[in-house]
Amino acid sequence: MAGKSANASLDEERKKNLATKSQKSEKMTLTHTLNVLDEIESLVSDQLQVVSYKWLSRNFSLSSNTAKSLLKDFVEKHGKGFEVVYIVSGCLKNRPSDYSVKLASSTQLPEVEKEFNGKYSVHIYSVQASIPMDPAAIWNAEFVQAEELSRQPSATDNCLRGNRFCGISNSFVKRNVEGTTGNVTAPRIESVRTTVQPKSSLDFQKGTVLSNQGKRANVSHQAKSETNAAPAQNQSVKSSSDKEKSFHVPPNKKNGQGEKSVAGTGGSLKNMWGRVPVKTEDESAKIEVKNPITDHSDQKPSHDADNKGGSDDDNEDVNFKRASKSENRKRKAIFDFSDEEYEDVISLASPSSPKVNSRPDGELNSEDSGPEKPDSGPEKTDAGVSREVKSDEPEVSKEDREKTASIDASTTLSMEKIQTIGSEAEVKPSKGKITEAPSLQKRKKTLKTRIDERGREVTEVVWEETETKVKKEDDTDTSKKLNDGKNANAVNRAQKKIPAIGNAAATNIGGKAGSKKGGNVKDPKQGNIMSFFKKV
Amino acid sequence: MESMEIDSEKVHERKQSDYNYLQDERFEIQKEMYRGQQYSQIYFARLHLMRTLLYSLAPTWKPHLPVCKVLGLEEGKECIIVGTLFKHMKLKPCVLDEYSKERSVTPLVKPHNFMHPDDNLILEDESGRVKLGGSALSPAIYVTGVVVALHGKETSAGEFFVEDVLEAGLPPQIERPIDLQEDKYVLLLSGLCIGSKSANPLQFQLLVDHITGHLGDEEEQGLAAQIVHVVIAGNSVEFPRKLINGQNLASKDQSTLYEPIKELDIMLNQIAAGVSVDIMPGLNDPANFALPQQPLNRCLFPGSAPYNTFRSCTNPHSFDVDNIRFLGTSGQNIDDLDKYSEAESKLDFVERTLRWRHLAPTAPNTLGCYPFTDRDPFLIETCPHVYFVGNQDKYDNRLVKGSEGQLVRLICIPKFCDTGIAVAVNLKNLECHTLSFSTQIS
Repeated sequence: MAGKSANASLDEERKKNLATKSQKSEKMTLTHTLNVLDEIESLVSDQLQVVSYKWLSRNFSLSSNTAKSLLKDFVEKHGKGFEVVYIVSGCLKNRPSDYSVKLASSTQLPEVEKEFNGKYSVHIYSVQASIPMDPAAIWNAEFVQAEELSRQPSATDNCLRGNRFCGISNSFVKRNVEGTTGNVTAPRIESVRTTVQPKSSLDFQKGTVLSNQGKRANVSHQAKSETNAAPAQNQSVKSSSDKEKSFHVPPNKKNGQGEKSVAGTGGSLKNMWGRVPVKTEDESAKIEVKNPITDHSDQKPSHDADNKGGSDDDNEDVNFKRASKSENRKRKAIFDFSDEEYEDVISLASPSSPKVNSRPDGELNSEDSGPEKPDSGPEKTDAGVSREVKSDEPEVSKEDREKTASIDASTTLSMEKIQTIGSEAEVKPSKGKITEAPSLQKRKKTLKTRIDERGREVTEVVWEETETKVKKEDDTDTSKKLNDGKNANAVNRAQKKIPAIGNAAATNIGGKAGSKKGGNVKDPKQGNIMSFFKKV
Repeated sequence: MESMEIDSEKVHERKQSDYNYLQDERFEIQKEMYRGQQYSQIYFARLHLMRTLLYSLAPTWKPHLPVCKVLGLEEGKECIIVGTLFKHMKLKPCVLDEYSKERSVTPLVKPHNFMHPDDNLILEDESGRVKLGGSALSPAIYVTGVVVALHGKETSAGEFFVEDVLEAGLPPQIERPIDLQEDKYVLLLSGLCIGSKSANPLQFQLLVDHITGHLGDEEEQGLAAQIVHVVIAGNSVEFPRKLINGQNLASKDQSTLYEPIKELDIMLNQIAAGVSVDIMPGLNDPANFALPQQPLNRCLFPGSAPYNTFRSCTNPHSFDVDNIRFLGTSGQNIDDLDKYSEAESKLDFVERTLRWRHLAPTAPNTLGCYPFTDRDPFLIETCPHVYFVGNQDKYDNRLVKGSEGQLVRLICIPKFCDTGIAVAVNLKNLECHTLSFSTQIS
């Protein structure tokens, strides 16, 4: 090492550099260097810690190459009292094509170096008071430091997470934190280059996308349905469609946009599991939910007859979710409930459903048709209501017949759901006006349990005047009943069917005694998965 | 000191490559429905697909011979039959042995290899089965579950005397891109066994430091920047099994239980921050037992999961890097072959599975497997360029040439905890070399 004068001159240069260049944390003044060296000395001799180059670099925010030379300075200055572990890396003489890395103590170093041929590199791995018996003990201090860094809140970028201080930068690495995308490389450390946006040349996302294929209506739905606001629901429905469409969008993108506020606890829970929310945020997208929903069987509502052993997990999850909605908010993080939003939607949807039914065949432009409805709202005599409803009856029964075809069941029911969503959207705007909503709300809801013709226990939600069938399992029964029900019943059923879905859900939430959907599960084939969860 | 002049420090940019793992979809079982089915359907699917293939190959193999089913065999008539092999093994453990009257005779220590000179092969198809004789088909090589075409004739004893065997052979391979100018490496390692007594965390740390570019001088770091992808093929953690005995765990025991995973997560975090990494489950990992093993849950890796470079994959795992196809397992398929057949080296087993076009022929017979109903996901449809098997005893590799010009590099990845060796494959020329890490300081 050159004498102090050389250091002094270097120091002057450095100071000049500091003045001219922007301040970088790794610029070391002589005093700073000496400070660090003193610290190393105290750590090693007083605290008996093993100071490895990596520990040093992370502790003092230096690049690892700087840390290595710092250790070299240290050893040259204080060398006598300490043990040094060197690391030799390169190709061995007897195996020239294979790369080899070896640790060696200072006494072993010459021998070990002889084993290597050609260009090999030697640098100090660590300094310590004495070499421990178990080489792994050398690693401990570094690992404790790493653990500390990993314990920092996930949003914090630190040198562990940011791939800092090393000799290789990778601008394509992105770390998704709580819905924000952060570039891993930190700007202020020059040894790691930062570039801005990821190129999509890497198909990193394909895998993630594919792995979610089975669970279509998942993450974005989770995010959405925390609130009961109709706008949110509209968005959620939208986003369900968007999600289907923008499936290829890498989940790391689209963060921090509008939906974040909606995400609420769902979002943070999601991220607890490290799942990346696919936030689909075009606010302007129209709802064309019909198409995507018809594609996806896992959006079947619970009262579909799917539970006959043919349902996949989503259905069952949906089913029990209806029964215990509030409890299972947490579970959204684990299960991908496709129908979360529907639940909320349904619970709000109530008496203004007649408007819903007058919409022809489930065609959904709920936003468009929505506004039309309130216009007819004010004429809320029963006549008006029944007039609307009558015209819907054939449509409703048609829908019911469709329901019996199990393949189409999801279509129909989802259409109904969408109608519900729409109706709910209507409820919101119409709340300000005097609509039939208040008058309809005067009806009381009661639960009636009876045994139907197939011996199943059926719970029905009964309005004051009429009965509404809430069918949980048996499509055919329902359709039969609907088809041969009395006119009044049919009318009211039609009128109530969709809100009834919601009411049933509400009922289920309320009367959770058995926590079975509609409380009518005697058939062991039906999902008892809810009993599994009711302990929660 | 020149190193104090930070500006002169060179920082390498890591090389990039295209990556996708679309083929892994067939190993996922989320869409599968379990209706109580048994394993006959997976065998039938296997037979059906392989038979179609073998029927198409038979005319070129022996054009003059008729092909018939097992029940259509006539004595003395030379023909070709196609079916699934079944190996009748005397020493193969049977679950009913536990209930046999002569319990004491059963040896307490099971032999590692269940072969016996009396083992014999039987050919089965959906119409029937026939015992196989002759010396062309050696029971020592074949295992239950392999679909082959046999040329021979029925003897008076009712056996089928085999004269020749036709295996499916290497599947067709997509042309390897020849225009790769630069060296790019895919690093394969397996058997980290974090948490076990034999694992040396310092060794793994050295590997991580090398991959991420901390270790060595600038030139070494330049070499490390050529690593574009890392695959960890199974057995990354080893839990203290004695704790998992059905009792509630005390809180201090709980922390010893999750320590290995936490450590693995921190290490993976360091790797994922710098390079694309895949982790596959192995026999000892917290994943399901039956093949295909499903990806390790991302919540096990809270530190690493947020990275777009981190991927939890199935076992078996198939992926493309720069259009070079990799296929590999964590070793269970080869270890099972080792128990029921013999070979000079593990690579022979690996090559055999490739020639039989089936990753795990012993599944579901002796290797746990999901009862697929309509397909057999372990059939190898496209020939990979690199076929690796993890958790083997020692490193080995071989280049296999197929009849249609296919070129495959077979690699046995040794257990890192025992050997400290990781394998690097050069995408340019499919050559591989090892990286070994030693922490012996005497």
